[in-house]
Amino acid sequence: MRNRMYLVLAALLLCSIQLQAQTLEKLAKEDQSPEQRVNGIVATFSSFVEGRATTEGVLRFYFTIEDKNEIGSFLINLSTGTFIGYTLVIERPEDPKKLKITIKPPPEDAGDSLREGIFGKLLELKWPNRPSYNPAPPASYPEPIMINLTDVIKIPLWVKAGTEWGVVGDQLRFAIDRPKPAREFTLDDVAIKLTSSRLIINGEVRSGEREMNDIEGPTPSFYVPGKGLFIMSIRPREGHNFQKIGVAEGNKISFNYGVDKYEWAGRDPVIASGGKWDIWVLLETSYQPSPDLAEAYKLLSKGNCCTFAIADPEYYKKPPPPKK
Amino acid sequence: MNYLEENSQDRNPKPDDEVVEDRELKNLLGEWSVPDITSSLDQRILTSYRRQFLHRPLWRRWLTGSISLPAPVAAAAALLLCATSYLAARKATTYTLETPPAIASVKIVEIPVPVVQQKIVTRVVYKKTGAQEAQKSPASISIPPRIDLADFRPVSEIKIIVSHGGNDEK
Repeated sequence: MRNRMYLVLAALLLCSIQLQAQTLEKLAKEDQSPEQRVNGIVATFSSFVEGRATTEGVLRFYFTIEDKNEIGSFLINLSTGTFIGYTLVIERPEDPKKLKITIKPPPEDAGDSLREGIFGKLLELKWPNRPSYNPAPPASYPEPIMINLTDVIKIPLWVKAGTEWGVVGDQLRFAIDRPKPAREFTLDDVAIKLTSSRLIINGEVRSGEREMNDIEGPTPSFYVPGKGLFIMSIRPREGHNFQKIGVAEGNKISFNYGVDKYEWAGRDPVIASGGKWDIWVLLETSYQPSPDLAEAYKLLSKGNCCTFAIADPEYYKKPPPPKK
Repeated sequence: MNYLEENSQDRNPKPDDEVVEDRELKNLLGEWSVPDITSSLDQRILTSYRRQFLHRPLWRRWLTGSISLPAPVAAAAALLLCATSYLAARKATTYTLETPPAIASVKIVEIPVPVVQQKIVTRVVYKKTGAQEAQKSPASISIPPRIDLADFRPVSEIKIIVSHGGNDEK
């Protein structure tokens, strides 16, 4: 079973707001919500510093694993490229005003997964001379503690000793999450899933020597240099020029655009229920991936031409704003 | 006996009467024989004196005792006391006048102020530099001392600091 944290991190990198945030810095600044929700609790992350330190030199990535009541936190030191991670487990005892907090190390194989993923490749591009791109795990972790819901916890993560000492870490507040109301099921809830996929253009594998990371969402996409970004959807979208030119059948989506034939094939059924379905395709010719991301994908799979992402589904839910 | 009557002008003896009375007194005294004083009387008086004075505690004698001092010596001592008191008062006044400025200068200088100013300047320079970099030409940019995390290392042990209403505990 592949590492879940790696999958979430990969998803973070793939699901960028309007496909603009494609560097580590932009991802950390624009895509990372300080509020993470698990187990009916909202945990709000912020930074704290003591001594001579700054929070500006740290990139933060958070993600939740809801079925395990876990929040993953990764922090990259921009000055050195080293990064540290921990897993926060939030449990709710019988007393509704209490929380049981556990800090534990990331999964053992998280380092391998990160290094082999697009996240690790972005690190490699940014700090090419680092001997290792594994997270630096602390030697020891604290015992689980019981806190009040109103308590604030601080977790020191980076330290500098000496006369100009400093500490940088995470600060967390907790609150009861509002229950999610039931809503109507829509076609956007049907995910298009491409696990360990390959991209084939005109019969030729163009995604390089290895399979791509898993992509799952209502609007998966891939970018082909010189052509543009192809976005797939299970339905048409008002105000956007999606064309019903594709077919999802079994493990593959295929369509023709111009004179070229595109096939995007994964290991699992593209639509979970199976079957053969129409796919609507939009070509965004104005899109350009960031050089970092394009280069990272080349590092990820030798011979890869393209980049892969989930286009922002919210953007494509409504007509685009009028151009000024 | 009526006191007013005895001391009235009318009862004052005349000179002739006084002479007669003195003679009578002399005769009477000549006829009066003093009884012998017993040796025990001296002893009793001495014992009584010692009991009263010599056997009193030293502190009590010190507190209740007195010394006799010649008037010129006392006057000279009083003058000397006044003169030294005056001089001492003058010197003390001078000292108190000098001291407040010394205290005031310490308070005005306020040692923390330079430290605070230094910190503010450091941070302002650092933060403003980013904005200046965008506005000024590269030639005019001077690189300030930057606070970065180059020397920061991951902690060797993760600790949770719980804050109950602002009070930290580990």
